[in-house]
Amino acid sequence: MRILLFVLVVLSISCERVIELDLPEQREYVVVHGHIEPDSFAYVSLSRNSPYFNPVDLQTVASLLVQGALVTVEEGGTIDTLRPDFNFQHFTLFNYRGTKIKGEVGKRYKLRIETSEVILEAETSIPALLPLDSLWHRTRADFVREAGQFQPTRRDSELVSLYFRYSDPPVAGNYVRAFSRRNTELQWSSDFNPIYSDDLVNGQSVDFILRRGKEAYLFADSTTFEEFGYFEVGDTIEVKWCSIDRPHYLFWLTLGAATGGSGNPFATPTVVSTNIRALKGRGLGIWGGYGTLRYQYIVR
Amino acid sequence: MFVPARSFLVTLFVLLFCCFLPQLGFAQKFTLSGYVRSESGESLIAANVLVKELKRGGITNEYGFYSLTLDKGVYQIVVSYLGFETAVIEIRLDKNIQYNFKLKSAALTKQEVVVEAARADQNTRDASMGRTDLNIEQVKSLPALLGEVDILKTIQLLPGVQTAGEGNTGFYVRGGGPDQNLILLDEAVVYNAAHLFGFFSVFNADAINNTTLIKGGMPAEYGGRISSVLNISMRDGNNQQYKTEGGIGLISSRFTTEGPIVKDKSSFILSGRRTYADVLADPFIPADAIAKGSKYYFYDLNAKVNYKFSDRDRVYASAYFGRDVFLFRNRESGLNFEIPWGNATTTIRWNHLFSNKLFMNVSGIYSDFNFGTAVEQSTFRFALNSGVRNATAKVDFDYFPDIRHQVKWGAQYTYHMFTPSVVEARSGNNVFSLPGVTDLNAHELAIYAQDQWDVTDRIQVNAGLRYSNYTQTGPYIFERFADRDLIEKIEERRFNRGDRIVNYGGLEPRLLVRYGIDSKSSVKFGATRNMQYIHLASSSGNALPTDLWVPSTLKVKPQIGYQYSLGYFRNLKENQYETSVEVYYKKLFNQIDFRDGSVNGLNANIENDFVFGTGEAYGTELFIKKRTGKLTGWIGYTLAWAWRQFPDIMDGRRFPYKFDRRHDMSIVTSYEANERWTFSGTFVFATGNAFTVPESRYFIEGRIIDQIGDRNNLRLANYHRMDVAAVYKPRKQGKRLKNEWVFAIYNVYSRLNPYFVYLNNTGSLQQQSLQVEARQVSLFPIIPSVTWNFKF
Repeated sequence: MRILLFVLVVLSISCERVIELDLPEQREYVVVHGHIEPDSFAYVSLSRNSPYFNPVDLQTVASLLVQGALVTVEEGGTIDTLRPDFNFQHFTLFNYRGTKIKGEVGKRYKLRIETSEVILEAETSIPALLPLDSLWHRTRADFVREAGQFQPTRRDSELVSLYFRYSDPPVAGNYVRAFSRRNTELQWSSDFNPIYSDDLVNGQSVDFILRRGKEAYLFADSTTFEEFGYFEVGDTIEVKWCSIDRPHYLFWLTLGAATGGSGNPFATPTVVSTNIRALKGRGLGIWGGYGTLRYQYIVR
Repeated sequence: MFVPARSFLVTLFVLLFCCFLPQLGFAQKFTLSGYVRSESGESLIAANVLVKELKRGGITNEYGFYSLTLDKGVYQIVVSYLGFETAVIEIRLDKNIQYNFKLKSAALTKQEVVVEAARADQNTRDASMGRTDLNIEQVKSLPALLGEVDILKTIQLLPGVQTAGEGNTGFYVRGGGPDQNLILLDEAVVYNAAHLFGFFSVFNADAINNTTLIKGGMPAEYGGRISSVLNISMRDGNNQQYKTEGGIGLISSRFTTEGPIVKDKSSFILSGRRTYADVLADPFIPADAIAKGSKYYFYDLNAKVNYKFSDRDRVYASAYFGRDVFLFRNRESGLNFEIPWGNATTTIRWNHLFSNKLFMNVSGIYSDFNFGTAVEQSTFRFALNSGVRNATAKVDFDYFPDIRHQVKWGAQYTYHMFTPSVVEARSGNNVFSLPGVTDLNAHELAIYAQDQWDVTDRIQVNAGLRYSNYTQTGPYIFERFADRDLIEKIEERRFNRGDRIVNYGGLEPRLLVRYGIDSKSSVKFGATRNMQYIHLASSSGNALPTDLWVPSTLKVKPQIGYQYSLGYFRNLKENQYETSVEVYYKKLFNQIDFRDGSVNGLNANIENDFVFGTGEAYGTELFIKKRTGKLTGWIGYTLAWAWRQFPDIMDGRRFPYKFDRRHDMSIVTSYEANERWTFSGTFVFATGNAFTVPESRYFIEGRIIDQIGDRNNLRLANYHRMDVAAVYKPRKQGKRLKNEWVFAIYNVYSRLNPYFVYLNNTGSLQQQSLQVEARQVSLFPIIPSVTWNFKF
């Protein structure tokens, strides 16, 4: 909202130009991205932060990956030492995978990472599952007809918004992160940062739209701006609906605020929160548990 | 609750008793008292009333009242006020005399263009420090952005006062925050003094009489803020004849009408201002345009009436109402977006003269600031409402026991009502609202006494003591968490409406001492302690209407500020030049900021997002002013540091405050060429604002995330700008209709000053070509403007 106001004021009279910024010296961090789900082994990828103005391409990103770390996950006295794993379909080509402990709803998992530079620890939980009530869709033609200004085009009746209904349990403090993919897509997408908290709707039943994210990472997406976020008639949509704990939620919330450009150029930028504790060196990122439920919806 | 108040009352009476002591055992004394007003009946505030033989005198109070108690004798009384011809009368004082001065307005072209309505040597003679009185006529003669005369922008040209940024009316005094300035319009607090996101202030120059800024050494009569006082009084209206004036400018047009209701007894003034770009543009926007119906405008209304019941009693009623309205409509998507916000104030005052030495004013005041947002699309609706209101009753006494003393005491009670963000959202049949508290309330009480005392010819003291007391009452929910992420709640206390929750209070001593070295120079020292019970939760520092006022609560402690200042004042060339050097040191406690990782917006309890810390500021201010002659003006320079330190931000390391400006300089000149032309110019230079940039970036799930560095770790480029203006009075002026043209050029050499810097990604990761660049946005290049002002 605020960005809109500023844009209106600023666009009318302003001018802008590229300048050189002499940024302060950067500090080195090891960035953790790890998660554990029911019936799956733990997954952790480790990377370093990059100088701000360095150009970003896949080679650079690959060169930031941290190899040779000792990564362990512990639950109830059992220790799982994660093994190196290569995944060429994934943005992070190299990561660590568990072999012993599979996630279970209601349990807590401790992560420990040791390299020559850092010792990092984190803890997460897989909260109780939060099921969806139903999924349905509406075409863009329905919206155009409702607005009443224009006649819907043929394309309008091919594009659909996916709706979900969710009934929140009476006890407050439920958080959800959603993913979706369609047809032959390999990657789960969480574009538009679909995270939900029951801060406003505790104990209520709510209807919302889950927008289609572009298939992430490696593959260029040719979707035009006008068609962003819409599924299409004939799509087979898979939805991953995951309960998460509050630190996990805060990570994605702050990440969304920081990357989405919170809009106010005068405000202090949002600092992305983390649940990684550094015993040595510096760490960032997230170790999160997902209480995952999967749904399939075919747009007919 | 009021136990400390009792001991304070004892102190107060001792103080007052001391004041009366000098009266005992003196020769026969009589009192000369009355009002100083303009011919049209406007009160002249802080006019000088000098007894020539004694080289001593006083100044008029906020209602133009003066009182001098002298030994029996014959005296020459000299009354002066900027922009008016000095009046001199001889008085044989062998009884108590009441005498009202009516000063003749000097032609604008003949007046000295100086800031202060000062006796020539008042700068070095009285104890006040860091105080500036601005006459609106001078403000009007300086260059203004788009021809919009703005009192707040003139204030920013004074040393020690910093602007928030290009074209912004927000001001920061000596390293203090924007919420620490007490902005009063006829005694009513104005919570957000800005229109159009800070580009224009809410003060319509045509409705303003006098403006006083106190940036250091706040007297005990003022409280509730720890940085400065900006006291603006509305005009009373002409009590002799009907007058209408107005102006047609590029941004807004103004219209003011005033006149007597009962001649010499009662007058009124009504003044309005509105921007009209929306009205002019509307017919040219086609009816089927997508955004038809979208608009932005603001307006102000000022109204005031007064009635004189007798020589002893007078009643004033004044009101201000202003709104900004932003509407956005998109016909295609059916989106409706509406943001109205603004201030409203009402003041009712009763002046009563108990005797020719004792003046009383009783005021009832209400002020309100409200901000709303509503978004509607199809079945979805979101509305947010926030605001702050207060109702105040106060009484002030001015007592003039003899010419060496000017005593003031009084009491004030305020009921604060805060509405933190109240959110209502609707999606189809679902209605959502934030749980928790929808209003917060508090009582604030203060009593004070002060004496301006000429101890000897060399030493003058302004000593005062204020005691303030604050009680928060329910409803309220207090929450305490074990961790920073607010996961584990370890305490929750719920309070019902009317419950007493917490009480704060404290003494606020104020001391100013002046020591005269010789007739031309003096040294002054000031020390003050101030308490402030309300806070502004600002994510921007840019005086946006979305900034939220919050009260002190069980969790949020009141702000406390200490300030020490020392100055050397010297006048040169028979008071033609004034110079001063001031150094100051300030320490601020219980400052608030948002914790790292707080996402601004929807919060059931915004307090949980605050962290608490301290502030420190110090610096030097140099000021040279030429008061008289054809060429007048001043140069002000400030060298300053301002810091903040929070245990929960950056591991407790201190960081520069956003408006930490190492250097800040203003040059203001005005040259009166002849009776028709007056030229003026200003030049400003300031170190760039501090802002926060990322140090590095990292990647998660293919997203690029900025790793934010230390707070305010970089500076924008230095800011500098020159403006010029010319005022032309046509030779042919109608018998009744007077008019003038104001030509102005803002940013003469079109410097592209930084407004903000943002980081822009180009290319995409998928295309293997992502790069980031820093872009600087500048707002105003060279902008000429012309305004036509009329009066009849």
